[in-house]
Amino acid sequence: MIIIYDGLIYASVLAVLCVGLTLTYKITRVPNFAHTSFAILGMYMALIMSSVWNLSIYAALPMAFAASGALALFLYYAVIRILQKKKSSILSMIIATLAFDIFMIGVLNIIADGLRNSYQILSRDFTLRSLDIVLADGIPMVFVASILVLAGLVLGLYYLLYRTNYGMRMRASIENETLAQTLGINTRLIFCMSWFLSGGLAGIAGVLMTMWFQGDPSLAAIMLPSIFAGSIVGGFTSIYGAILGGLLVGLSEIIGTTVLADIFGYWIVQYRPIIPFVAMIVTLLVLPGGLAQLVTKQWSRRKNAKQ
Amino acid sequence: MASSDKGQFVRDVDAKAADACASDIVDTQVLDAVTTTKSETVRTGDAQDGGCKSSAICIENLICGYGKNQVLHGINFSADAAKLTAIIGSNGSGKSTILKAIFGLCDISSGSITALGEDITHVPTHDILQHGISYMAQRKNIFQDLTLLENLSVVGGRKDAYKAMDHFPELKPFLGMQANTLSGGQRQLLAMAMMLINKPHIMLFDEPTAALSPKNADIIMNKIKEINGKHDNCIVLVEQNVMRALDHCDKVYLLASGHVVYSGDPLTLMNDKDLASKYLGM
Repeated sequence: MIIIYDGLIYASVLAVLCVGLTLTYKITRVPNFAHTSFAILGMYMALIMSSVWNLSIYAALPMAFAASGALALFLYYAVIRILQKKKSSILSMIIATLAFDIFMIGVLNIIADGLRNSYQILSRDFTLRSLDIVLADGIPMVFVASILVLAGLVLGLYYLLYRTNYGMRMRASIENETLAQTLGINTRLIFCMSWFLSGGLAGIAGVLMTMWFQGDPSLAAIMLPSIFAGSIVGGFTSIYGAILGGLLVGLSEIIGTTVLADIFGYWIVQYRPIIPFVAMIVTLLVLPGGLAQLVTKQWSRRKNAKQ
Repeated sequence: MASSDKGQFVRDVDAKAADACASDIVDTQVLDAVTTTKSETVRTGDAQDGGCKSSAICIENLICGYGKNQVLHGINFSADAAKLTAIIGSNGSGKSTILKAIFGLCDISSGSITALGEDITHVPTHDILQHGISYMAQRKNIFQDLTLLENLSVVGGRKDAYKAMDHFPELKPFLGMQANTLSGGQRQLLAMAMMLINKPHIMLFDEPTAALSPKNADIIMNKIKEINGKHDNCIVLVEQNVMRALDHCDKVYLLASGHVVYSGDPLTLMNDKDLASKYLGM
């Protein structure tokens, strides 16, 4: 049973993170290497709210959404937007996000040390699993919550993007920013909101993560390959591809490691990051457009067959 | 000038100039002329452009370009309501840049742009529409991943989108289809429909007939004339096909190398043998 909890919680959290990374990539064409730091901030928001302020761990979800969203907005407005105005290359912007990630890892380490020194709480390799609600039959609440968050994200994004005027404007701005501006759409506002949403989702993912797994500032670097792998497997330009990619890579990591450990022994667990790397390489070699390309091809074939 | 007179004149010169005008009018004569424009004075076929603030659009001493590349070198330009003003010139003369400057899509070094009496020189692009101006770019003027209905709804709402079909009934059967499935002519019609949704007073067209068949080009030009006649809009048209532009416009600006070399009545321009031979290939 534990492998099902591990697999589905991790895969759901990864899918949420992949959606955020893909959303910001679609908007700015910059792969954001600081994306995991938004999630780690969410983890520490959960730790502060539950261990310092003695609030319910679920109360941390909206707070983490707001804090991580604000951090993402800051990165976009204070760094990316300025570089875009200066017509910097994509490479410069990638390096800028990497620098921001390194800066944030430093800040998160300071927060971790500050919490340990000031409140004498475990602030590294900590887990909030013991604070979670246990449902009937011993099902942990985070298991249900992570699946509900992902399902809510799928439905919510569909409604936002395809059923609201704001979503249509968002899709229009992503496709052609200049045209959208000439038609009276404030693309800057839309992009700011998208970055905020992306960071906020990462914050929520961070809270859910620490309710089952361990949280630590070093996770920012450890989780990055998995998030990129999920997004690339999904196609990197498709929101729904990112969800599929995140689920696939997340489940492969957990199930694959467990199966391999059973066969070869526990020593193989430390090589777990190989799984997302293999997924990334295979996708780029065999299906560069990712799962989104595969789904689009199948859809076009069916459409043509009907005609 | 009556439209039929202009049409007659166009037909007279058509035989001589058809080749030059069917494609770009850039030839060696034009390129030679471009190098001498800085020392030339602007010829006008009607009133001078000084003090044009009462016009629908008034541009004074505009210097602008893209980054360090300066394209317009202090031009004056005006366009009036209920009139069709054409801008012609060779490739790279700065025709499209005038429209882009109005919409804040290039870097303005100095000068001023006034629309309907309001200074819009440094108004952000997304706010220009609120000043009653709409712009149709030469390329990428529709959202290809969106359906026709979504393209129209992006500008107004669903109600306005359906209402726009009254003016463009030819698009009605395709409303639910993705815009990338449309033909070239249909795409231009959709872009025009998107322009009209907010009922603008000033409409800027950047080569709306580029890469279209003569039949489709005529449909688009007739649509523009129809809008001009029905709604008394101020229309500014950048056009590569000189004959088509001169045949339809009330006033023309001839640009060369970022300078206005002629502004005024189109027939006067065509009668000016010096300019016609230098810039129009006649």
